[in-house]
Amino acid sequence: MAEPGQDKPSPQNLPPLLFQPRATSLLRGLLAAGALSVAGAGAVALAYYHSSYWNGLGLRREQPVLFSHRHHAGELGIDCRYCHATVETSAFAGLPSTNTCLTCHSQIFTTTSMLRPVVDSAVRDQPLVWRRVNALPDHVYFNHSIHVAKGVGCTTCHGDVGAMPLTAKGETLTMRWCLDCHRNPAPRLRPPNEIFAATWRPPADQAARGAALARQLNVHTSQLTSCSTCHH
Amino acid sequence: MNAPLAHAEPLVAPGESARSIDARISRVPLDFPHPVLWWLGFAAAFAVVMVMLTAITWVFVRGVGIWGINIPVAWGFAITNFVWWIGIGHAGTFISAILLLLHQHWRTSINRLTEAMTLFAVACAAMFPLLHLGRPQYFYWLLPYPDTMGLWPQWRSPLVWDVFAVSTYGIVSLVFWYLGLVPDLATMRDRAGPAWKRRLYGVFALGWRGAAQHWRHYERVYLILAGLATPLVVSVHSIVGMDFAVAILPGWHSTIFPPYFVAGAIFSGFAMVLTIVIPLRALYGFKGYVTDRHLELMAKVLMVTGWIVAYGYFSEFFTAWISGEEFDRFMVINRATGPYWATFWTLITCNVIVPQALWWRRLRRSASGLFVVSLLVNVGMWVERYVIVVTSLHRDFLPSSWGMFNGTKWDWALFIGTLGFFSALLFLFVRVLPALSMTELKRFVVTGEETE
Amino acid sequence: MPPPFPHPLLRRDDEFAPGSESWPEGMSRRRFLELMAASLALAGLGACNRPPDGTIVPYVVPPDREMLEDALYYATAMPWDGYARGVLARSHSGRPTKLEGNAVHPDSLGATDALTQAAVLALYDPDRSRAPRRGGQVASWARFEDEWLGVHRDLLSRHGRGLALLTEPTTSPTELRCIHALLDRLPAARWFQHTALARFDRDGRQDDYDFGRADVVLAVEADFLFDHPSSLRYARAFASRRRVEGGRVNANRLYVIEASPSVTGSMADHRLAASPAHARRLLAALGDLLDGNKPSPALAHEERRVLAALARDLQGKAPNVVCVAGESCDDAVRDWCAARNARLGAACVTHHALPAIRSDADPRSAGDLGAAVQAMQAGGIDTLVVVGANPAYTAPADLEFARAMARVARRIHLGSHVDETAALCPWHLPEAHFLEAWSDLRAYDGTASIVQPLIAPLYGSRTAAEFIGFLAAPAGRNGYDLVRETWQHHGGADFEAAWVRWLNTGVVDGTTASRSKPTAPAKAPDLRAGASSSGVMLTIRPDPTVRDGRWANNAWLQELPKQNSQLVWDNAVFVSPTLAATLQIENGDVVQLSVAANGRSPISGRTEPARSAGSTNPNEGPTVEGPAWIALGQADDCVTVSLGYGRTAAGRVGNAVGFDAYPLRQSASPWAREGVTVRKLGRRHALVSTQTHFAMEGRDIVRVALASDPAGTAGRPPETPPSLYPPVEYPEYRWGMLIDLGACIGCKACVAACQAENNIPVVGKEQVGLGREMHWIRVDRYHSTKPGEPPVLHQPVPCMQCENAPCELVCPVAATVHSSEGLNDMVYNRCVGTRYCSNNCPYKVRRFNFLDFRAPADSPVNLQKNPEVTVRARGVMEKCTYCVQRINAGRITAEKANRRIRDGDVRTACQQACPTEAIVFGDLNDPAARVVARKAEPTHYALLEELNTRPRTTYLARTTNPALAGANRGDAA
Repeated sequence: MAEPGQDKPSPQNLPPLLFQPRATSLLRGLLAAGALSVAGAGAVALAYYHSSYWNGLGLRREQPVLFSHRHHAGELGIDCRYCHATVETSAFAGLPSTNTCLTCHSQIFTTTSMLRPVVDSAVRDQPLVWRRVNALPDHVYFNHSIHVAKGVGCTTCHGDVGAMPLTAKGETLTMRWCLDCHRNPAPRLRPPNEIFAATWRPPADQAARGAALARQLNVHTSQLTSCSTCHH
Repeated sequence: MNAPLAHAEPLVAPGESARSIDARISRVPLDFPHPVLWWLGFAAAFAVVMVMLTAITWVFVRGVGIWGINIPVAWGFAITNFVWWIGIGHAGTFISAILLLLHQHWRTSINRLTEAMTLFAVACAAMFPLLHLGRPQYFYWLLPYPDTMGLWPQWRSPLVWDVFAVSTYGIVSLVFWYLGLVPDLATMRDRAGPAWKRRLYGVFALGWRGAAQHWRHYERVYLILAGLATPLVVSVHSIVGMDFAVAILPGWHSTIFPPYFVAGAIFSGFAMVLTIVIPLRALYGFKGYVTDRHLELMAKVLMVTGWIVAYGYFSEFFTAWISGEEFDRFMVINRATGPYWATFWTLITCNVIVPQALWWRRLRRSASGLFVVSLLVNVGMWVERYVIVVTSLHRDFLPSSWGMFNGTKWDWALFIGTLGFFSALLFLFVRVLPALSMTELKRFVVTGEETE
Repeated sequence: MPPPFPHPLLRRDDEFAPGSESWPEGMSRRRFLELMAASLALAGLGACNRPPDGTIVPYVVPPDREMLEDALYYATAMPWDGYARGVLARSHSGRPTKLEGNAVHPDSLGATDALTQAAVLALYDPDRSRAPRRGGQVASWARFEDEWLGVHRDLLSRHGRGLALLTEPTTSPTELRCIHALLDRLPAARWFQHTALARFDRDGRQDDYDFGRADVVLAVEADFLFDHPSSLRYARAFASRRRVEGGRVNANRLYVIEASPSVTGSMADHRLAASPAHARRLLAALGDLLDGNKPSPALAHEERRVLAALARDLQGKAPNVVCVAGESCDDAVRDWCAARNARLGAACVTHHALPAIRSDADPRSAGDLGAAVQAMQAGGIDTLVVVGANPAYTAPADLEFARAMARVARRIHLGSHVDETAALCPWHLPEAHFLEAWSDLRAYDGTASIVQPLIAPLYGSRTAAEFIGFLAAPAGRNGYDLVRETWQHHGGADFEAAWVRWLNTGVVDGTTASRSKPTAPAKAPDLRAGASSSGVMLTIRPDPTVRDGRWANNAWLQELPKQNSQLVWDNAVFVSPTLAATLQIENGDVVQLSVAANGRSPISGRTEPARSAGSTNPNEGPTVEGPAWIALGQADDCVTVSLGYGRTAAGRVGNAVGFDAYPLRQSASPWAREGVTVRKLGRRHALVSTQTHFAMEGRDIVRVALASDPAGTAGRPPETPPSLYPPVEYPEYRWGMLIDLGACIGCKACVAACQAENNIPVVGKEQVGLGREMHWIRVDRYHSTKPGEPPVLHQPVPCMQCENAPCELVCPVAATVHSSEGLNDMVYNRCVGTRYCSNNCPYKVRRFNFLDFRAPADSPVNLQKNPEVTVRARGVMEKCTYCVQRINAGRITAEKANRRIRDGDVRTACQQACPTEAIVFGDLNDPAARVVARKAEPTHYALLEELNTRPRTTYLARTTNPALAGANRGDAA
């Protein structure tokens, strides 16, 4: 039937309809939908992996102690280095030992239930087991000491910790995010005396100040974007 | 399309009519002749597919270390197979696109089959770049997409070009093949018995009614696609050739590679077409459509491309000699006389000496003879890729790091497995679709009433 | 004491998400999971970085602040044949992770050898003895102490009669003090000493040499550059006479007479391959030449030429000449050399004497193993305490130690492993590794070092001193007190201050022995006597990597290519090409070595008993079967085997590897046998070497410069070819390396150091055989046949860090890219494993994880891993990075102080280990950098320069100083 050159088809010698007329539009619809869903899936996946959900922004985990950075760092204004003692000397910023807590809390709130786990830890000589909030993959070599030495403040990467009742991840910490700063650190650099300031906001003329700081602390961006700076 | 040249030997045996063509070709999928033979063949192929799946699973579990690869020979069977399969895939577009544009009407009786073959070969080839990765789970890093790492592929690497070349080629071949199928699918729809079959073919026939308007669109699109596909015939294997030519390794670093890879591809492609079409036409009585003349024409293509390949070999030796470059000279001498001399002489025999037999017309028209030749060329072309990959690597610049490569049982399992996969797909193809293009053949019916 | 586990916060030694990679030897369930993981990953879910729900654990009570610092170094010393080798041990949060040389220690001078590098792995050896054992059953120290109390009471009653103590000779003052204390307490007890290795003292003196001053050196079977307690010091001095500086070199000339290729032999300007017997003939002839007599004619033309030149040189350059006889030479040869040195005036110029530092000849010692066996057979011993030694494996066959030992009722063994000897002892007790022990040792020149622990004993083991101290007085004192007590009165007024100083520097000041005039017989003995041997001889040598077998369970050393053959995971019977041809032997053919039962041991005409442990047929004498290796430079009339293999109780690594050569050993002649027959058996054994092709194919790979005219003979230095592209700028630092082939002796310390620093996995014999070894730096070995070139050429090859790196442009995912300082970065976590980079690397320095080569997660060896270097997973390419982790550490320190990195701040692991300072690394932008000065030498060249890869690692030509051009062919015979 499909060949050309036959007699004109007429209603009589037509076979019974194989498809209803709407079948065509249905098929077209399906094709369009298929194409769309493929594209859509890609778009969704991208959005998801870039989302703050996937990167765990603001994600709070249940901790052994209801510790509030807002209270300690924000309201009381305790210096970051009091607890994170090796941040200026070592790759690892340091996590306060139970004893560090007890320097104050052997005097105050000693009996509160909130402090119970800390006291137990000291008494039983069992460490407190915190759950990680900020983690980098194992193949990333991050060094706190050089960052604070070169004008990168705590809150630049850890978010507004001084305002966090329960600590949560402040930035995505994705490689893209790291690179943004490594390519152009100036906008985020602060003067050495501001590094540990809990609430630092870039001043109006940060562009100029940052550039000046970069020169003063001789921050070389050329080398900052080499792979081996963070991966070896 | 213009009518066939009168003086030429007919492309469709006399006595064939439009109806007889439809009947003879469509009956293969519809009436399923020789079921026993088909089932035996398919079962065998399917068993080999299982071998392939085992080999793939084991690679994922243990890593590519189960193969014979090492330092210095870090590429082995996987890349050899990849290049070989991609090469075979070339006959398809060459016949569909280039011969179409050149008005080589004899293509009509084999283009359907070769296009199918192309798709299946590309399917086999496409596996290897993935499987040979040390960490295949990260294959998608070769694709450009805005990741959270702020990284992109490294565009200077030919492997990235491969990704695009091969995927484009695969898609275009698929569309081309499907487009050519549409009118035939309509025929199948109309000839199929049970309603479900007619519906199934019907869906894919996209409501083809053979209206003049349909034909106009069909012809136009087909021509345009042919135009689009033509550069691909050249591009894909040129880029595969560059996978090697870009490297500084003696035996790889050669400007002749892109053209010579393309020629080699068509060479092996036609060999594979012959290997498939000869048994097929005997089994399903297609001798009327794939005539001895077709065989002869394919044999001629085989000869020509064979000569281009031979020139490629020669030029490698010549440039090595004339350049006076010690590493290149050592490479060619090592190929011919080194530990892998046997492979080298196998490829010379299969790809250069054997095709010379085709000067002999009797052979060009003898199905059995051509079958043997085509098999040998298939072997020769695989060995050629093996020689290029392995013998160039195993002895390069510093003698201290020279080594040897031997394929392990897993290397062979995967290679043979893809052969099974390829044939299994072919079996399914002839089972459900018209193996030859009825629509196009009908144009060349020589009994009085001429189409169009 | 730091905790013996990695600090949870600093744990960084597992790169990839668990499950996303596969384990070769996993359970089937695990495989299934991996499969799932792989397919999931393929579905695109691989790159999971949702914050991991990990935990983070602070201290309850913080240790010293520095505990949290990134890495700490402690000065200590490791025992090498009982002598001290000073080291700085690196500790990461309490884990010893690497040993480095101690610059102020006389036998280190800041360098190390391969053994020292591998010693840290021994600490974490999973097969170490972990508990006391009674009759094979796990027991406790307490139980042993109780039992010993009884024994001790009983022994006291008979003043210790029947007690025999068998130790290895030691230099440790504290251990000696404890032994003497034991002998004081139990006067009738007897103390024997045994080592299968060389003894360095003769009649109360040790020979010492000054190779920095010697213009002409004759080494007879003496591998002083490699196999000597002071080899590092000697190598440094020797190399100082090979280094081209300012275009000139004040070169010495080294003549070597030896049977089998050695490290020292590979550096010879003229080398004569000769069996010990033939060596005597050569020396006799040399003596004649020196005395102006006509030499005996029975020598080859080549030999006569070389000897003539040698005689000329010795007389011409006296007194700055020295003849060195190896410890394996018999007394006549050693006397001959001593006498010649005296005659030539070398004594006190280049040849000195030191007092005996090791306890071999300690007056209170009752003798060696032979004496011990006699005593045991005599039945006078009812309690035998073996400390450290492993005589059941290392005893010469003729002593039949096991049989004698069986006659002793009470047998106690202290050792690091449950070894062959432990198997014969009802009581086995675990001995502490030196990194977990308080002790002390003396260097070859007497300089004492305090051995301080970096970590608490992992398995409650004790040191020899603690143990012997307890045997003497069951009160038992800990090592710390014992050592301090020993030195109490040395420190002068302020002991505590001195103590701290000693611990900091690693040496106890004022302990170096004074050198004196060496004793020498008035007249050189006549060596013609006894030199009349015929037929094939056998020489026995300690293995270059596993020594007498004590290192057999150290995987790093098993996989370290042997310095003399590039073989791994095996020992072999070395035969010369000529002998191989006559016997139709090929590499890997198993041959049988048998010594005629009445075969005279060389020289001393005494015949020996036919009975032997290894004997297959009593009236045939000892036989041993092992695979043959055709060694260029092997003497035709001599085959050589190395000790330390074929062990049965070494551990999972060392068991059943290679063949045991001890059955061929005789206490009378431990190093050589005569009348050896070599029979080819039908069998073959797969020998695996990391290099299969030793010819340079006429390519410009290793250049050789004549010391007489380095500039003129070294060929042209590299120049930068024109380019279409603008040159790349490296404004900050431009790291570069120079390798001085003139100084390199091919000891492979760099290979081991790199393995320790960069967490390089061990892959095993089979994988190496497939060509999958993982070493980032290799030492290529070429055999040159060009006249005028040394027959053996060494070439260390790390990543060249090409400026036009061919690997970089072919990587599809930019996993290997150029850093702003010109490093060729390799980003493991970005690598997808196409291996294209390796194919395109003309130097083939890239290594690929074909399988998962990581140690199982629960293996203690993971504690050695350097936390600053990623542990690479399966399917990832890796390579040398110039120790970029060190560059970064150095940069961070410098940047924090707001200064530039100074030359020498950053030293790569290979550079640090190199005993001859052949490897120099630094910033090419710093005009004052040493590397810049060295690269200005006229012998400077780049490997495969014509490829325009512009390597940052370049070479100085090998310098050679032949007396007769074209005659320095060691393998001429």
